[in-house]
Amino acid sequence: MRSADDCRIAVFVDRCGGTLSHLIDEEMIQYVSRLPQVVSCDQDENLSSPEGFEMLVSRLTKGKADRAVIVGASPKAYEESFRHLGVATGLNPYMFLVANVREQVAWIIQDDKRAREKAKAIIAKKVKEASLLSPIGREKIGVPKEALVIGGGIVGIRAALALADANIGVTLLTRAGDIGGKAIQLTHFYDRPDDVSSWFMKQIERAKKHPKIDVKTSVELKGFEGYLGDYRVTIRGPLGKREVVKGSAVLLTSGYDVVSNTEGIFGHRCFISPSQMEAMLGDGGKSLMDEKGKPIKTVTFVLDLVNETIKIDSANAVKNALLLKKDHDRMVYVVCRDIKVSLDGMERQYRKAREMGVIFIKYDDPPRFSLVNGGVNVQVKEVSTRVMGQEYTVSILSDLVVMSEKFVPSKDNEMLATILDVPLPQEGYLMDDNPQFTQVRANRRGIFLAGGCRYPQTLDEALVEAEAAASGVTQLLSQGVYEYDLAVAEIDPAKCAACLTCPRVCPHSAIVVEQYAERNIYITAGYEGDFTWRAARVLPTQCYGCGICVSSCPTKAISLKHLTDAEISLQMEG
Amino acid sequence: MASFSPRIVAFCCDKSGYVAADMAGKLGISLPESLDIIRVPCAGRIDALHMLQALENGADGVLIFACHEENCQSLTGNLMVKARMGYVYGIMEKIGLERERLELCNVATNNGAKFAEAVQKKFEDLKRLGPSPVK
Repeated sequence: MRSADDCRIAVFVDRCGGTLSHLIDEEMIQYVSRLPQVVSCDQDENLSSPEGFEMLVSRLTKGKADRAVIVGASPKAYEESFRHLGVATGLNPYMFLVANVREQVAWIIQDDKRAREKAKAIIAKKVKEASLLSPIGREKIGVPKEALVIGGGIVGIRAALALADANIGVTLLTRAGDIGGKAIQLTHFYDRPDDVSSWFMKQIERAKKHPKIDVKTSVELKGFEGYLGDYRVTIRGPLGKREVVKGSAVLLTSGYDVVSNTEGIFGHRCFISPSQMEAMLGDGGKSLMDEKGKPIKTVTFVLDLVNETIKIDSANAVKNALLLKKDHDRMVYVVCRDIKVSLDGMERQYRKAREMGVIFIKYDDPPRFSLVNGGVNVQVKEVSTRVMGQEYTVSILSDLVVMSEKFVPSKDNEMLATILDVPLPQEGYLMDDNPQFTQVRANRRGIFLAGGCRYPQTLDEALVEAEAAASGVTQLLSQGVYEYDLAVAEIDPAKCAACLTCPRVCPHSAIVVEQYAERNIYITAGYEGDFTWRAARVLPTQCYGCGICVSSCPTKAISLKHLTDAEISLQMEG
Repeated sequence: MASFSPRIVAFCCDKSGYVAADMAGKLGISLPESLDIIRVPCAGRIDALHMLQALENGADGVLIFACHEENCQSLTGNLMVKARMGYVYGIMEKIGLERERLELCNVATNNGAKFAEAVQKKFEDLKRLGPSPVK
């Protein structure tokens, strides 16, 4: 690292289209030019414009400066173009700093004189900080075009097919004896006329025959290690044989479980679950009759008793109600607290159901069930008439009551979370890295989540997620190499006490503890030297550069390359 | 004493606090010029040492702007800093610094007004409290 004395800083002043004119005048430029180590100070009316950018590039290419400070708007506005600037000028993209004098000086300090004083202070501090910068390199690793898909349900199959079609080899692992999962019971989609089972069978057949997909059934997950580009899963096959399968990325599709018979009259034959209903509709309505052979006339769907806010129930009820009405001409009631139609095309389905004569009844107090004449009497206090000062209780004499199943997280989630080291919140569903930005990515780079392991969702949503996750994997692997900036944490193994604090606090599981022989040399089998110690190591492909480990380290062995402690200390000086 | 203007060091998480600070600027809310904004990649980057160092270097108050709880980009960064603050409070009590000089504020990216409000409130509080005895 060069000493602070021989660094040469170029300062560029952006007047932001005139908004900073009152701050930046000749005197200010003079002041900046006289700051230590500043070799040039240029100004432009709008640095983000093509002309301003050209000026910047030419100055940096021809001039002798090895780092730059930009005075102007928020760094967020420049950061994206910095990267390109680095490419154009040969200057390292991390040798730039921004003095934010627009948002944080000009616009919050009304008095011009005081604003100028503040701007000067900020610029001086940034120039000083610039002398502490050191270039940060870029590395790349090869990522073989192989992916692991864990879970053989419809989401796993869909994702595997999408990946295989994108020329990525897929190993599909499932605990069950065959692929297919739970969705195989479904007979209809809510929003399209296709028959799901035949479409699904075709998908399964295609997945089994696809040259790029290797299906491994009846396997148990036993171990997991590695990082993006080199994940290794230890599995135990059906005959108890252990095997290691490799993949550059991992896609988890463990799904969710259902528990039936949680509300209503327990064990009574008139209470069925939606999947039983689905099965009844699946054989063309032949089994739509009770045990004495009399056809079922009235069906009541009871929603919102078991699950509070899940729209799958609504979607299923509307879908099956329409089928019952249209194909079999039965009397259908839907009793609900609120019908949820926030799915693509659901609104239309709901209106169609109403037009065809499906009756929707809303309740506040839970409906009561009693057995009458071999059927069930569902008593509901109707709320939509309450505005007239009265309340009516509606009795629906039903032959069948379809009671929703309770959705619970898959039992496997806990095992998967432990083995793969991904977070498992209290609810028991696997958690994505960020619900707004990175929905199908887990906290570790290269691990993706899709389908019901995140939260219970309808088949359509799950299929969309499968494709989203598959395209995420494709995006990572399609180039064959993964390039990343080394703007990450770095551990000095000589200082490390292997206290295991950092692997514990790392939110992205990017730190491992390894055996070292000499500094940064991984000990090989058969090494017999006595100079060995254990130390933590940051996997740069996995690190997001958040710096949590840096400030947690009790021996201060970790440093963050793009924001060192020295830089922070300098900024807080008065 | 009449013109005492407390110096505030604000650590801002790059994902929420810093954007909120920019937004406060965009909204044109006037803020004290003795505010120093330090950008950190995540609130979890802020060490107990940094908080104390800021106070040692002449800050009258330290504000930490982190993401809302359970909304941290790094899962636990905002909780880590909260835990460290508990430790720093203990030290501050021992050396006779008021608890009000250090505060955590959870903001989202669009909370420019909340950011400004927090800074202004701290400014008034510190004015009442007087200069830091460390100085």
